[in-house]
Amino acid sequence: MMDLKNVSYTYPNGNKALDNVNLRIEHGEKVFIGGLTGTGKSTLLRIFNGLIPFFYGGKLEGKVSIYSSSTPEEIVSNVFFVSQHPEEQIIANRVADEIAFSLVQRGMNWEDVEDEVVNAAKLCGIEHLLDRRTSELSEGEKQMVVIASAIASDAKCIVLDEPFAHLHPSITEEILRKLLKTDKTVVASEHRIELSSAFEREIWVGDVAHFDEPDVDSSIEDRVVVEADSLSFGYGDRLLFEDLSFEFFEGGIYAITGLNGAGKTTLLKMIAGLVKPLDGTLKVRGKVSMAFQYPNYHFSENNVEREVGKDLLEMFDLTHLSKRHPHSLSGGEAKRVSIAKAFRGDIVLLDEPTAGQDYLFRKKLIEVARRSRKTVIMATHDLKLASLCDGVIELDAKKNSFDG
Amino acid sequence: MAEEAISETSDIEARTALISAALITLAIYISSFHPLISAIAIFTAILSCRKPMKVMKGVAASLPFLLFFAASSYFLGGDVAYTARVTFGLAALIAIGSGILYGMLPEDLTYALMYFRIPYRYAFLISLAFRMFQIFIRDVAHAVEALKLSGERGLSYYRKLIKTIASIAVLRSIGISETLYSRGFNLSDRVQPRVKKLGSFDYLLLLISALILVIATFLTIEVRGA
Repeated sequence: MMDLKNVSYTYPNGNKALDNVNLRIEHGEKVFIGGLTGTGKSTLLRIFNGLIPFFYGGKLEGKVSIYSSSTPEEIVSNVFFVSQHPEEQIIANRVADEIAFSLVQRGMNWEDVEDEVVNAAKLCGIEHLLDRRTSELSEGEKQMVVIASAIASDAKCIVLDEPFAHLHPSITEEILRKLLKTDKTVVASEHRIELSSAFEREIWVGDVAHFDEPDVDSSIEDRVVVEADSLSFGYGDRLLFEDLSFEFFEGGIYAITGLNGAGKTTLLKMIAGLVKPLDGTLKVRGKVSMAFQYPNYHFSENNVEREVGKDLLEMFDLTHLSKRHPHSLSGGEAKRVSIAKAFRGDIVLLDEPTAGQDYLFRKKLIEVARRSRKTVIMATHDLKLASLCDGVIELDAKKNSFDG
Repeated sequence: MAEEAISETSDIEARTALISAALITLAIYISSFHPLISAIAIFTAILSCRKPMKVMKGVAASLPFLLFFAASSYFLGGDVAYTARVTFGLAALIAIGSGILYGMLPEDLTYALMYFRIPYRYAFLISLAFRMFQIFIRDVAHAVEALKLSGERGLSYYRKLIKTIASIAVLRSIGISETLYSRGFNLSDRVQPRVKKLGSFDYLLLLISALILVIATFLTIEVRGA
């Protein structure tokens, strides 16, 4: 059982993240934690596994009881934490070793570890990855490996902070179903609020806000800015897509969807001129800019305003961040800043723009894109976002489709 | 999207690889880079690697470094014979690294070090360094792409690239540290090394390595005696 009574927390830099939180989660409960970006969900989850205060420091007030643990070691043993950046959660160099990592730290013998690893991998449908190097995996596969590690661990509770941001909805559904079947306590914070119905209980942090959709012009110009004819691409013997043809018009908003590893990011990079197609032709007319999945690749200035520019910050309601150092922002804030920066180009390429963002951001993004009259192309697993676009490319090695 | 790659793992047991590499390296040093020892070392490295071309590629990739080393050695007072001998010895050391240790999982090396009584928290640094290096290389590649798209040129490009990479390296270190803490890294100090059984090839490699050391010792004694 996890019990928080009158808990307040202030980070070492003086930012107060939580104020007088009272919460009780019984063992085995499946709890969804929702809320807007910056309301303290991640902070709350980090209290559950002792990262706060034992790793991050700061001032924690009130009473915290995590499975009656009395030491940081006990808390970590009882609660497995899955964060939103799969790249930083992989420690081992081989998938099987990664899944085994927590168990090995507890001194389990290798025969028992192997059984647990294989069972967890089977449950997550990744047994074919067990002998692969972790560096060879896609972001989605990495996240699956981390979730398998959580299932394999002997922790009583799994705490997940935006765990499905990099996964295709069909895989998310499958994993969630398996995760919720376990007898462990599952506490997940997720911005895709449509997933909340799968949980027994919902907890909302902060205020529930609504987005008033303004009336914006959604017309598209006749001018073609991206024109692809019979594109194909693959690595070695593995073909990602072939014979892919499409046209994107000026001012249009387009989504690229597909399973993990289908080549969505590769197609974006191809439009950006960073990757060359194996076959076919691609014509791009206009200045291209791109926001990668990991936002910090785009930051090299000392404050957000210099990085993005005042006008774009206002468009995205980010002026309150203007004096902050871009690398000091939270994951969600950094993502928004990198997206705002990408709107400097005529053709804006966004890789998983809603990962780590709250439910209001989808509509905000579409509204800003319409208002800017730029061509926006997004690689996304967020099918709700894709449904708001003017056209969708669904990548599938066997059958690509373009609807729009 | 990860680039397609094929997992390759070494057939040699990690303890064998460490001992053999250490013995052959020692042999090259104590023989003062004797060409015969260097040649046998290269031959052994090729024999022990499942993919001999990898050894060749390893040596070929280090060619600029070898040439630089040779030039420095020559201009700093060495004669041609000495320069050739030392450079050949260095190539042998590189071949040993890329041949015997090629395809070895860092985790296996960690457990091999633990077997030799190195504490886990230090032995694990090999795995961690390897993993951090992979993340670093990936981050550099992405930062370069991001800057390329922003149209930066000249000195400003390099200034921004260094700033970005340095900041990301710090963030990644914090992220990895958080993960290590969350996974209970070494909290209880109860990690057991994973020890594999030695195969016949491991014994053969150990024997050859020991023989190389014996030959090197013999050559050294003979040279000093003369």
